[in-house]
This record gives sequence, structure tokens and C-alpha cells, in this order.
Amino acid sequence: MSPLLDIRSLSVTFRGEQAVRAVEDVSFSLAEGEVAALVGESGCGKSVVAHAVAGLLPPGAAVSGAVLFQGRDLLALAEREMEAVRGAGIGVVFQNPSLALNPLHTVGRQVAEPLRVHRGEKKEQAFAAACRALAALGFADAPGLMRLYPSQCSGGMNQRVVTAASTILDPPLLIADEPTKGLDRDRVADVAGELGRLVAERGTALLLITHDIPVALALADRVAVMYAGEIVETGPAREVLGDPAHPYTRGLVASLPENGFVPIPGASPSPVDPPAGCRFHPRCSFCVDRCRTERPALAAAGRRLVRCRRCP
Amino acid sequence: MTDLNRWGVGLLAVFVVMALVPQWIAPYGPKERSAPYQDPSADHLLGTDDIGDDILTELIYSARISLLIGFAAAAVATAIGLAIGLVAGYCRGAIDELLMGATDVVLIIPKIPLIIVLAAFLRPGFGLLVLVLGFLGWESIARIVRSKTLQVRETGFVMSARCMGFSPAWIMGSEILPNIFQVLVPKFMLATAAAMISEASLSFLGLSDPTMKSWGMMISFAFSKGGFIREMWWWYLPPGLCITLCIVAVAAIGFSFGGDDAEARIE
Repeated sequence: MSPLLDIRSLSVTFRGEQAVRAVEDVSFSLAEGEVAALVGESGCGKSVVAHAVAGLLPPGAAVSGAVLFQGRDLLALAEREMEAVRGAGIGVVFQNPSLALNPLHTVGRQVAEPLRVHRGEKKEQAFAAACRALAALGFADAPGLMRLYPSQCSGGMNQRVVTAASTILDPPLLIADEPTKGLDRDRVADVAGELGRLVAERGTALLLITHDIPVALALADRVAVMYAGEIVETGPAREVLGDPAHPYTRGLVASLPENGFVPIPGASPSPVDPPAGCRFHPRCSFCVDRCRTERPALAAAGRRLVRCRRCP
Repeated sequence: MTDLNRWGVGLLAVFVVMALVPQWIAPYGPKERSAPYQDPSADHLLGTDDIGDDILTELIYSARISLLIGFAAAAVATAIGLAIGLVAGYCRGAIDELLMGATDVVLIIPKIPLIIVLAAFLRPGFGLLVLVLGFLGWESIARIVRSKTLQVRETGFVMSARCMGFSPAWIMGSEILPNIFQVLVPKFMLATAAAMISEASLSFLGLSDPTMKSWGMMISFAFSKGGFIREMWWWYLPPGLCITLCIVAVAAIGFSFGGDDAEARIE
């Protein structure tokens, strides 16, 4: 069976005074009901991949490759067709829930809105469905909540409201872009639990974009680690993050507080002018001459793919 | 509500009442005549004009046309400016440049001379005057709506609305429009004031429909029918004062909506 989402050698370049090569040759697939995480530090291109899938890149972006969703290439769709896919086919949960809600509309209206736009449902019908969706997310007083404005709700409530609005059309694929960014530890656990329960209950596939490795480990079946616009290691989450093969993944895991807070030396390379050869070589402690000139390909190592001369 | 706002609303309310129910306030009917060129007296508080009409009555009945033209022209201007500003700000790119280029062109047209030329050729009635004033007054509204739209379209909720697959028209109408209403109201009021000034100038120059009694028309008649020569200040001063006060009231309401307050509320 073909996968639900199949990203094939996706490259994204932002043209400007200098071309920024944000994503290069990323291939990644997601089966129905599967949870996969794209992890990496800020600026590694993981959000750009998410935006390319949702068709939300700015007009100046040059995109090549293919993003197949349910067998259709999303990159080839016209904007109008893409509108139908968004919301109904692909739901997106944003990082800041309080900003993702219009301050001038009630919670109820915003949760019901997708139903009214996509299915042309009547107001009463859509509001009743929104009310059920909110109740299902654990709100005791859903009818009361419907009448509140986002500013009258707590951040946690808004997070669940956003989740309710993004999933009310039951999309087969949910993209969560940094859902835990800027939250304290307790809230991170809440949000992760919420997403986990949602995908488990409905069989929704989830593409989790995060820099939060514990969250990725808790939720994802599979993980892809990105560095400087390319995937450096991908495979089952527990294997990749439990026993990393690529030096960058190793550094990432070692920099976690529970693993001793060891930083990776150096800084991320500029996306305008990435280093020749292996992009990680200036920061890699295993660097040899070959790494400086020769760009390694993703090579199979057991159940994973690794982009490093030392593997397999 | 600021003091400015309260004063503006109070003052405008007086004029609106004059416009809505002149027959309740005016001492005479619009067609009642007495001796011409009378000085102010107990019977005629502001005297009578060249054909024996009571000037106070005329003043009260003229409020209707002045206000109606002001608000109707502002409504036309706001509708055009809103549509152009929203589309330009939301679509950006070539559409934006085209629309803003057109806006700049309209902006540099000298308004009053053009209106005079149009009025001279087209013998304007109420509808034409409203359309002409409306079509020449939308540029600053379009600009401010565009800049606000550019700002609001980058917010999380517009992004999330796009993610839900809402169409651009829906997003502009349902997500962005309510959030730029704060800048639209003061602009509408200022456009009203501008239209009223233009209407008064045109009427004074005798270029509008002479059967439409407005304050500008009253000054025009006072000028041409001997009011100025006879120094009948009670004839030409009150309509001038009414125009000024009405515009001050409208502008006061507009200003009290704008500024930091509105900005803060949008944030």
C-alpha cells in the first residue's frame, strides 16, 4: 500500500539577494496512522518542510521534488484545490495557540468555522458539532466555553480549542509545528498527552515538527533528524534517539539536560553558503579529510538511514 | 469614551435631529413666505431672505442634504477604499502594486478643480454628487486599510485560517475585516467631513443642484441675492457656522476613535 504522505527529494530555496537553501533533497514518508517526528535545531529547515506540505510557503520560494498526499502531488495543485486539502485532508496545529485564534470571534464560532466553510453546514448544526468536539476534549462546560473569547481562556484551554478546530474535519494527517515551543514542562506533558491520545483514538497520522527530543521520543514511531536543510539520520524513534549513529544526533542527544548538557561545539552553518562535503564536518570530532570534500549519501544501516562516512 | 468623543457625539446628534425631523423644530414650514429682507425679530429669529423665507427654517431644513451627502459620499469612498486596500494588502505582489499605483494616481488628481469641471458639464443631482465625491475620496482609506491588512495577515489566526483551507475572500471578510474596523471608523468620519466641505464649496460656487437646499447653497444665495452687500450677517454666518460645527463634530468623533487607543486594542 502506498503511504499517506510521501515526500520525494523535496528542495526549497528562498530567493532574495542571496539564495537561501532551506531544505535540500529531503525524502520522507508517513503511513496512515503513523506518528513521525522531524527533529533538529532552529533553522535546520524542519518547519519549511511542514510549510511545503501544507502549501504555505511564501510566493518567493522555489520548490522542487514532490509531495504526494493520498497519491496526489500537492506541489502541482492550484491554490483553490489546495484550499480543499487544507483543513479537510491536512490539519495544522500551531505553536502559539493564543495567537492562532482570532481575538474578535468567540471560541465556538472558530471551532465551528471549518464545518461551515468546508461542508457548508448551517450555523446551529456546526455549533452543535463544535460543542461535541470540545466536550470530547475534556471540557466539562462546553456550551459555556463556546461563548467565551480567546482572551477569556487560559493558554491550556486555547491549546485544546485550537486542536479541536484543526481536527474537527477529521483530517487523515495532522501536522503539529512546534506544539510545545515556549511551554513549561507540565504544559508540554499536557500537550504531548493530548496529541498522543488524539492520534491513538482517531487513527490520525501525525507529523510532529519539534526540537524537543523527549516529546519526539514519547510520541513518535519514527524520527528524522535534520541538520542544515538535509536529513542526517532517520529510522525508528527509539533506535535513533536511544542509540544515535550520526555524530550530530549523538551531539543532540548528549546536549539534553538529563544526559549531561554537553553542547555541540561551533554554530550551525549558514544556509546561504553551506560547507562543502559533509555539512556537519566543521563541528564533527570524527572529521577526516574525506569529510571535507565528499558529500556522504544516506546509507542504510540496519533499520535506519544515516548520512555519514562512518556508517555502516 | 473620551471628552472629545462625548462632545462630538452630542453636537452631531443635534444636527442629526435637525436633519431627521426638521418639521418638529423649524418655526415655519419650508414653503411659508413673509416679507423679504427682514432683520432678526421675535417672529423671525434670523430674519428672512430675498424671497421672504424664514432663514432659521431654511437653516434647519438644509441640514438634511448636507449630512446626507457627507455620509453617503463617505460610505461610497469607504467601500471602495476597503475593497482595494484589503485585496492589495492580502494578495501583495503584482496585484498590490497595480492597485496602489492606481491609488497614487487618483491621489494626485486635484479634486476640487476636477469636481468643478464635472459639475459644470454634468449638471449634478444628489446621486451624481455622492458618486463623484465618493470616487475621489477613497485613496487614503485604501492606503491605511492596506497597511493594516499587511500587518494583520501575518498574525497567527490568519495563518491558521489559511491552514484550515478557508478561501481568501472568507479570510479577508471574516478574519481580517473585524480586526481593521478600528482604523476604518475614524477614516469614515474624516471622509464624511471632507465630503461635506467639498459639497459646501460646490454649492457655494453654484455648481450643485439649486433645488437641493444645503448650507453651502444658503451661503451661495446670501452672496448672490444681496445678503453680503446688505451686511445681513444673520443670513450668511449661521450656515457657515453650522458647516464648521458639523465638520468639527464629525472629525472629533473620528479622532477619538483613532490613535494609540485603537492600536492598543488591536494588539
